[in-house]
Amino acid sequence: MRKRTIFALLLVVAMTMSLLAGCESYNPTYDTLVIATTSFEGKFNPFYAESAYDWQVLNQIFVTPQMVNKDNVLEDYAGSIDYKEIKADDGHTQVEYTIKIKKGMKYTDGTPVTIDDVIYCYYVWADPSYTGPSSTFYTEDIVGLKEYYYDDPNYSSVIEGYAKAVEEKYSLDTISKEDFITYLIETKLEGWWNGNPSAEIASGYTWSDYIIDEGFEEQLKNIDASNPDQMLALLAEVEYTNYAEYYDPATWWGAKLAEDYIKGNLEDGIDVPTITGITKVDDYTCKVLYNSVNIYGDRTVNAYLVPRHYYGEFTKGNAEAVVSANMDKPMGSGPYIWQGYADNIVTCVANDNFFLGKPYIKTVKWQVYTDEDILAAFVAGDIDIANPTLNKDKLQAYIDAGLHYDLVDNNGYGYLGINSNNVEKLVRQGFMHLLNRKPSVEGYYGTMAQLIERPMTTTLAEYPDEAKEYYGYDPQKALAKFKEAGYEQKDGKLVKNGQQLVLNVYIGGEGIGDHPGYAMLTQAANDLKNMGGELIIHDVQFSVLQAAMNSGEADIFVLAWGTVTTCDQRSQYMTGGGQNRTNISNKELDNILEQIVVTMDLKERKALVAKALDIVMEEAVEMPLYQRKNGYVYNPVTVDISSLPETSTYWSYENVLYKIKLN
Amino acid sequence: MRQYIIKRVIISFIVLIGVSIMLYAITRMMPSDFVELSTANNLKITEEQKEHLRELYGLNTGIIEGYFLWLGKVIKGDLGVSLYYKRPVAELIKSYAPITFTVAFIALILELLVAIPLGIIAATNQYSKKDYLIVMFAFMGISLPIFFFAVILKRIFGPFGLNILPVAGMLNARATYTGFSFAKLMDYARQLIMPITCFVITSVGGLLRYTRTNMLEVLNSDYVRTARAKGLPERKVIGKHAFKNTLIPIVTLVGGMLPGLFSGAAITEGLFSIEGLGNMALTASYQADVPYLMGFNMFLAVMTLIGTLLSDILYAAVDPRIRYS
Repeated sequence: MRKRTIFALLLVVAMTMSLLAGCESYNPTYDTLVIATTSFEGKFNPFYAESAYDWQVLNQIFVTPQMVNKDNVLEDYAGSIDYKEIKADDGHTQVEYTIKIKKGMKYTDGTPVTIDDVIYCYYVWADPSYTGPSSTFYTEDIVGLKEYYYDDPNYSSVIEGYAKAVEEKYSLDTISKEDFITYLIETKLEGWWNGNPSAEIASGYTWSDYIIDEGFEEQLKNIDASNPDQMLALLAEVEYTNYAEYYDPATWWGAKLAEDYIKGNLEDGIDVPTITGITKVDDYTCKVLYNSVNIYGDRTVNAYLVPRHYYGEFTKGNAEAVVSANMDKPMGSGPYIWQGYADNIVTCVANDNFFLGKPYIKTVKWQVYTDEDILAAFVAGDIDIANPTLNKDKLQAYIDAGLHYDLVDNNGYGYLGINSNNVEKLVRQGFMHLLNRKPSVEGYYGTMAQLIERPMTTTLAEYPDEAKEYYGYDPQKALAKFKEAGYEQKDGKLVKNGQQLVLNVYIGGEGIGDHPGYAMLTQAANDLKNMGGELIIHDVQFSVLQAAMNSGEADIFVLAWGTVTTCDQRSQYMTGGGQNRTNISNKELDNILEQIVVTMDLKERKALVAKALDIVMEEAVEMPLYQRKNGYVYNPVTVDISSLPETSTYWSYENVLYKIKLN
Repeated sequence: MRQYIIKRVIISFIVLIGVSIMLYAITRMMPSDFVELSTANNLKITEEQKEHLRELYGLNTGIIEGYFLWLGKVIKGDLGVSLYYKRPVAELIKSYAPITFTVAFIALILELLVAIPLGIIAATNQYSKKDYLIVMFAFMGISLPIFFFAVILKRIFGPFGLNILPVAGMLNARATYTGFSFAKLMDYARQLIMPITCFVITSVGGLLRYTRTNMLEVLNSDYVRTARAKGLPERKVIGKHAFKNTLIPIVTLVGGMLPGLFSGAAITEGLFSIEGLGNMALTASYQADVPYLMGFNMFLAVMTLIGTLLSDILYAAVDPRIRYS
């Protein structure tokens, strides 16, 4: 008995000692952490912030019930999210998410955090006036959400009616001339019309020349050719008469009908005041009912805990005006408290009442630096952490300066897209054989990027690891494909029906070819020239590239996707998808993409993704280029390197800033 | 004089209307669309949603309709809300104008302090070594691309060179200041040495050459010849007779520089990580932020008109031969 008592006492002593060891004093030399950032948009509001740099700050001020861990899997943080499948009255499967938040959390003004704040967040997202980045929330299949958004309990029949009306009244076969002309004028010929009657639409070729060539010379004489409205009206007439089949009035009319519908519904009073699928259980719990299985439903309902009393109550249809009024004083319950943004520096101080414990670093500042100045700022001791753009030479310079670094895969990928409306499939396939990707990408990035074989980031578990190269670089195969498409080499030119094969490509290389895909394009241009074709390379600023791509002017464009966290690619590849930049339309692909997002089993989902991406490759609308790496660089003089976490694409010092120590 | 000013102000309003029409048309004709740019990375966006956003932002209107909607708001004193920054345009201009103005104003004073004496020295020593040296310096300043010159300065004075100046930023983030103090002012000053040097070196050439040319013209005029013939010492001829008359066109030129004090230098601000109106305008152009660009450009238009008016008034003040009625 006595032995046991002594043993117990020893245990208590040992435990006390270990606790004391854990409480070792933390008296750092430095008390401020300076993080270099690229730029701020200055939208420090969780409903509107879009730039990753604004979010760097906001993620320290606001918390969510769950957080993605280093393997891109959600785990509990300021609460939890559970789900269960339930059967609806008609027998179909619904999914009910239960969102809980921890008790006892407080905002930094001392107000308790409750589930009402989560629900508030959903209602802001669902408001018809809201324009922030989560404004696509209403498209989620949550029970009662669309009824709320459209403010009509019978919205589905009305929307169906619109779909029917669009099909019956506004499809290419059925649309009246008047409606078609209205559509062309309202959309400014789908963005083609630049509003300037005297502008040249090609070198030395004006709108008037175009109208005359299209056989409308007489009508042109009867109008004032310097009047923009009259010119647009005549051009609409030209397009309707000669090129109606190249336009899509149905989508625009569908959107317009829905738009007018919402407006009308809200103007006659609010008919649907709440979202029936979102219910409060108690002060710390709510439920969200999905009408169908959605593998990413938990990510969607993982809302930020935003203080309702601080951002303001609103009536339906007025959220934008109320919530957007506060853009520069965020307040939440996260590890840091906002102090201010001035002189291109954001300052935050530790929230001593943070629910996971008091942060070690008292003051954190984010200061704007251009990429070119980061190394010098490190050497001068002005900054402690940065994540600069890296290539092999830059990385070596950081190493030489004695800095500590971590490399992780970026959750995005670079690709070359081809507009399938402009370029026929066989030509697209031929062009793919002209792309010598490896030397181009490796020459630019070195070991900082790798080639990918399918258009998806390799950081997703669903990426088809077994995929092999689909189109190898082979000019002979390219020529064979062009010939198969009907092109023939005549007098040194590659022609079909008398027209030379001329393609244009838009790339954002800062005007000096500073892009990993640029070398590949110059080689392709050379190869195509040798065959008798032409590839015109436009090295332009991003907004110009974007405009050329959206107006259909760009045949080919080189771009990258960033911050991809799911394998849902419906928007990119489904017929009429919101980000379907290549205008790909393939029924089989549409079906597979729909299946992917309701397939819970990873293995099955991965197989479906592989199948879908094979179709995309066969369609030759996207050539995957590279998966690049991001780097975090730390100053080991100021930052306690041992306190840094093991980093991954989804997990960095930012996720545990409250645990990081300074020397 | 008062009548003249009133007349000019009334004319200015008419000019402003014309300017606003042109600016609005040009801004709306930009080959980019805010909705497309802002949703470029949103994988969930639908075409319907994009149309909805255009309606909410007022971008679904034609240029003429859009202009009158914009004008209606401006008449009520509302410059609109920036699409990109999501804050009222007037508030943005108010917040960011001081830094842009401060940098440009200090640079302007330094430019005058450098350009006028050097211009006079060059003119009074025409075709001498001094003249050639000064003119060469002026041409170098004019010809140097600012981004290149900034890199050179950073290399010389930054941590890889003499290590006496910070390479970018407006304040040293490591330091914590409470309120406005002398230490903070010194920090600002230290941080702004390089950008202001860039401004001065690359802009001083024009003003210097202008001063030189004017001085040469004045030196060849009859009254200077008379002053010399009277036997006045050369110092007095230059300082009293020639210099004062050289100032007349320079004063009017400086009046015209007023809008430049607020427009900032987009490239220089960006190179030194200074968030000023110029850098913001550049971002807004990339993002097709129509309300911000309109508000900012109209602000500059107003400043230009005020600057021109001031020039004319100053002209009358410094040149007794000119009288407005």
